[in-house]
Amino acid sequence: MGNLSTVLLVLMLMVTAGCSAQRPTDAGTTGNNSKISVLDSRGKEIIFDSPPNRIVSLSPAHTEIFYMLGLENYLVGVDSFSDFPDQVSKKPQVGDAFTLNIEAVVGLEPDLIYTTFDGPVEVLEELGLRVLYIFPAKDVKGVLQNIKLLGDITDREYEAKDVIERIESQIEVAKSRLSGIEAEFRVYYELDPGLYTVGDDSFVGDILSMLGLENIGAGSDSPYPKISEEVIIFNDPEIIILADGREFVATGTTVGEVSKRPGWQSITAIKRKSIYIVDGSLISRPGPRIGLGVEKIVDFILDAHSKQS
Amino acid sequence: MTPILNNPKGKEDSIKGNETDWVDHVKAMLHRRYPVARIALGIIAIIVVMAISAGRGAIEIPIDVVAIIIMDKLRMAEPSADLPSVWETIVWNIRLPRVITAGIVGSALALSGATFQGIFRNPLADPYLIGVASGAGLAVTIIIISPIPNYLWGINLLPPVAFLGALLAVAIAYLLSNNVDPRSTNSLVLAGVAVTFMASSMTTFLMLQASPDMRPILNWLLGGVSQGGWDRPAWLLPYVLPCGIFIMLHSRTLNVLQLDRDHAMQLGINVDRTKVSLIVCASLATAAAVSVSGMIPFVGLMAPHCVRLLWGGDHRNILPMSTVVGALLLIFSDMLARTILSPEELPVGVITAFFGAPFFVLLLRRNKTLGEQV
Repeated sequence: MGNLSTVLLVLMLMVTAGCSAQRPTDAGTTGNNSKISVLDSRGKEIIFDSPPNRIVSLSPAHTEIFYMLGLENYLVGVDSFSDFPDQVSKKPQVGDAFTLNIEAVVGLEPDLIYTTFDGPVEVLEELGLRVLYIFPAKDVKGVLQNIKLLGDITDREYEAKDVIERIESQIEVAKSRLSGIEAEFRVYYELDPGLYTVGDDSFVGDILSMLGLENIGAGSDSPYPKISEEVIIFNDPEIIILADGREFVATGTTVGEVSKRPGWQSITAIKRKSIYIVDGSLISRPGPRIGLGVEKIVDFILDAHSKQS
Repeated sequence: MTPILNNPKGKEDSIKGNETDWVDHVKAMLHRRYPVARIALGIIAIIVVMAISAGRGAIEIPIDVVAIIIMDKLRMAEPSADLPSVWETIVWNIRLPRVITAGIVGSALALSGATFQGIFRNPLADPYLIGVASGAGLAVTIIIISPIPNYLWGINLLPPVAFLGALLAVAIAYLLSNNVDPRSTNSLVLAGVAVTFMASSMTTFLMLQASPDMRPILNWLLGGVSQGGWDRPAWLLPYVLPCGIFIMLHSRTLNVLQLDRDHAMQLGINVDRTKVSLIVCASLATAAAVSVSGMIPFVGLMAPHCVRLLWGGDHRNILPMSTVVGALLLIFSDMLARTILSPEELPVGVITAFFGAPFFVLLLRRNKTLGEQV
């Protein structure tokens, strides 16, 4: 029971965070005219003679990318974690990558199934379906690569280029707002009131360090560690970011509750009221809204900076 | 307490009606029968282990500093200004409440385990095997998922709700087994296992229904004594302490219950009423522990059996010493949970299951007569 639950919990965190990559994506495209060949994360060659037009996405981040590329009408099914944009709720759901309803997938007669988790890949391929399995992006660069890849195989190169440029400029502008700030703020990023946070080897951890923040969870080996409460108190974060705010997670927490946690009153972020709530799907999901997520964090840094003096 | 009734010699004493005789009798009994010195040593061991454990963790704090901080807080020593205030916060607000919670939860589970094993005369009766804990777990899961607030008028609803779940589970198990064979203790344990699986499957179902908000439930189910500060021991004690005292006072009765039912009745024990009140108390203690710390398996099995293997099967020894060993076991397990992967933490239930499962096998292999005792 205990072990199974641990596995489940880890899987949950991976799904809701939308990323689990340990290795970088090695996907790339080659080809000429309309025939495109893609090397997936297993190193297997996937051939596209023509753009797919019945797509099932098993990754919330990539569902968002398909929408951004204007492929809404070609998306015939999504996983149950895909929740953005709102219209996605009208799409048939096929479970998630871990508890996939294979029959539902087959029934949709897809000509492409996109997944970031390798669990269901073999079963689907044995049924004669075309599966593109790409590790979740590990950093912003990886997200941009994935967008380009999806643009290439769906014949939406120009749309993809637009989306990529928009994200790049959002991040550029956001970073430039930090130019006057020398200090490296210590940050605690909370995924869950059980004190799960992000490590170095995670998408969010990468964004935090890209913005010059010192992540308290960085010392652990796992990408989503559950850390000791005393580590948070000892490291005294100047910024606390809650991805588990009750606005976004029904069983999450509030700024008031976090401020009242026993022993936390000595923490600088709590003394200065530098506690911020963020929609986790903006930042932890390696999708096309990552530019907005970065903007949010920059807002937090600037606010914390103004409270410093 | 019914020592007068269940002891023919005590009966004579009471007939004499002399109060000083009665006091002498209790004193003599305490000295002769309860392993007072052993219990005292056990309590000292708990205090020492708690102090050591309060220093261990991701942030290591020397034990003398821990002692100074505790003395300071208890106003037994002058405050020392040269200590980092963050150490004080960690020891006093994080570690100490955590260590004490671990101690109380461990004691509650071990004492309940020992009680269930005594009542059902079954060495495998553990709060987690006979449905009590999973009934409590299901009830708590329902509350966490439902829009019902966890607090009402400042009272934490989880322990009483968990208690209802626990009682319901044990009542169902009891009724199911009564229909089969009222005398058999095996049927009760089997019915309990069935109830456990039923409640667990319902918990899993609810958890999946609540997805993607199942993380808090999982966090709680996996078991842990961290977070929450002094609130947690404060929730626990009003439930665990009275139950513990009640059960301890019935240690002689439990000894008599090891004989068969007719024997016990001849000795003047109202078997059914005593059993029910003990079951209620042990369920309440388990429910309180579960509501605070989630599922922590095997403590209720390991602690009483260690005590039996070491010191034999008298309940005047088993009950208090199981309480001591249970506390030590969980304090130690929790210390491992927060130090093995430091600064990461493991759910403490993973640690107890890791030790518990091999212990269980060892128990079965070493004591082949165990099954025959049933």
